[in-house]
Amino acid sequence: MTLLPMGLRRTVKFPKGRVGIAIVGLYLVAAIIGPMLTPYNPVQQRMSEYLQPASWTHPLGTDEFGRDILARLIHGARISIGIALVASITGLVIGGGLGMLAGYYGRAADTIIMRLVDVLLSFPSLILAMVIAAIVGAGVWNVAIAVGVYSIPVFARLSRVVTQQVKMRDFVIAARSLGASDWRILRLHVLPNIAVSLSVVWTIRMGFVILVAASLSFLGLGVQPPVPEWGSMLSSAREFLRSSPGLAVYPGLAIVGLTLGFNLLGDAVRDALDPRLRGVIG
Amino acid sequence: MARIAGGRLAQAVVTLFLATIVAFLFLHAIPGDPALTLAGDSASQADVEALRRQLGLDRPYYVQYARYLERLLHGDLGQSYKTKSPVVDAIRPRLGPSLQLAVAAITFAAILGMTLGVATALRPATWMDAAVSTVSLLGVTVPTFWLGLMLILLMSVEWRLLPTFGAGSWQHLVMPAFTLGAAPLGMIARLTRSEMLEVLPQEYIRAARAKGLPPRTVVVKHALRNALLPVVNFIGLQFGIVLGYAVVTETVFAWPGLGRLLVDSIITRDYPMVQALILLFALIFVGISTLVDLIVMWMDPRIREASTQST
Repeated sequence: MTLLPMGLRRTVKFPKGRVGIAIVGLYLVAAIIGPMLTPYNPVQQRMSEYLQPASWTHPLGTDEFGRDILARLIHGARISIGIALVASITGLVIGGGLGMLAGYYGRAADTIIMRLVDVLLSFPSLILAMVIAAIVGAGVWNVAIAVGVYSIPVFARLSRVVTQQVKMRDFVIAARSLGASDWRILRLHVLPNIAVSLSVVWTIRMGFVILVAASLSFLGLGVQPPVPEWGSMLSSAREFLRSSPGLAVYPGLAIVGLTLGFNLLGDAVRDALDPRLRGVIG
Repeated sequence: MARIAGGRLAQAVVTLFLATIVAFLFLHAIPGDPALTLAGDSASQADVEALRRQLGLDRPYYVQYARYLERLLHGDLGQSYKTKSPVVDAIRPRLGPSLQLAVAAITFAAILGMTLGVATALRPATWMDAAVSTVSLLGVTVPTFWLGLMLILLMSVEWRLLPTFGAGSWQHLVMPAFTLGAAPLGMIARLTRSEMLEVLPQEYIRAARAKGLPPRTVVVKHALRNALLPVVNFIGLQFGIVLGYAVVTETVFAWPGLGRLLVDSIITRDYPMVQALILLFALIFVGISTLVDLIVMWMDPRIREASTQST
């Protein structure tokens, strides 16, 4: 648990780290308490108020079903961040775990696991996410699963390489010669030593994951209307590009802000904790 | 080099073989019975059973897979649930526009990205350097579909400069190619810049300058040539991302390519079409990354020399 305070302390030394934390923090606050502050229901239709311009009652106007755009954006933060967390943690745990096993055991385990990872890598990345979305179906959880599986190869490859380096270190050899079991070595010696690299890449991946999830919803393969997801809001905004361009502008700005925050934060976390990863990812 | 290149080709064949297994399993992983879908709602139970036998769906998986491979080798990619005609008929007319868009986007990104990368490396810490850093950061933060929509809003709706949707002329290609190329453009510029900054202080560059070569020759022939290898490698990797995001771009601009066909087929549950398309995307992707690897091997004298020594 010492990783988090140490990482934070080093990250805030970089200006981009401070800006990234501020942006991501703002979105987190919006996602957690925002829905309680807005008086509007994000899915309830009020046809008498459709496509209204910005006003005091509706600061960003209303959409084609009379729903308050700001309320939908705020609820959307909860959905996008939720999907991104579930997806990236799925990728981290499954990919990181598989990579660790491949790197630690080598031989047949390495060959089988890395061939499976190669299969995932033989498809262009977004196509892979689309195919998984087609299999598991649409919906919030299913998008998280699709994007999570899409993230497995990155974590698997990284965790394999770092584990291979760690297992050659003296303390692992010493632990083994003292009769420690593989499970104990993996848990107490390997995992704490690959955790830094994995968490750096995890932060950097958050921005990608948000973009992929929003892309799936935009294509109609992810979160479905009327759920206020930013990508899906943009998809329905296409019809009103001429009459109400705001419908297409605001959700896009919301996505750009959040991915920008995570990218700046990810860059700073990498520079603070593991600059060797510069150029490897992102 | 021939041996290394042969190894790389063999690796590509193995990857493609694995991709055929994924494509085959896809049709079985999808919820629903293919025979029932193909027979239609009005078919009797006996008709469905007959169709299942005819399609070989009652046989064990390995037999079905062997038959699937055999059909693939004969160029038979399956039959569409929707049109009941071979999926190849729907795919063929869309291959050209798709490749045209992807190639235009990556060419635009590569040429402009490398030019900007070299220019900013020659004048670091200037306004242009800062501008390129900002653009490359925006490239990875702005979603492709939103960039496309904003371009339509400005270029077509507000200024009426370019056509909104469709394909057919170079004007139709401008916005989709820019949208798709924007993200790789920024990353290529950033990578070229950092590679050039590593090469420029080297002794051989100083020697080239000292013997009075024109600055242009020094930059292009001596510096860029050495910085190029990782950049070309990276451009090859980007092609996979471009192919994926082409799906989004084609949807935004109603571009008649394979990506839109894939999205439409998933939504209308035309799974044989989806199966054929994922295999085709894997084929294009693996083909291009193999080709790029071979080009990089050929460009790298350390690997190329290995061939002259061995032959």
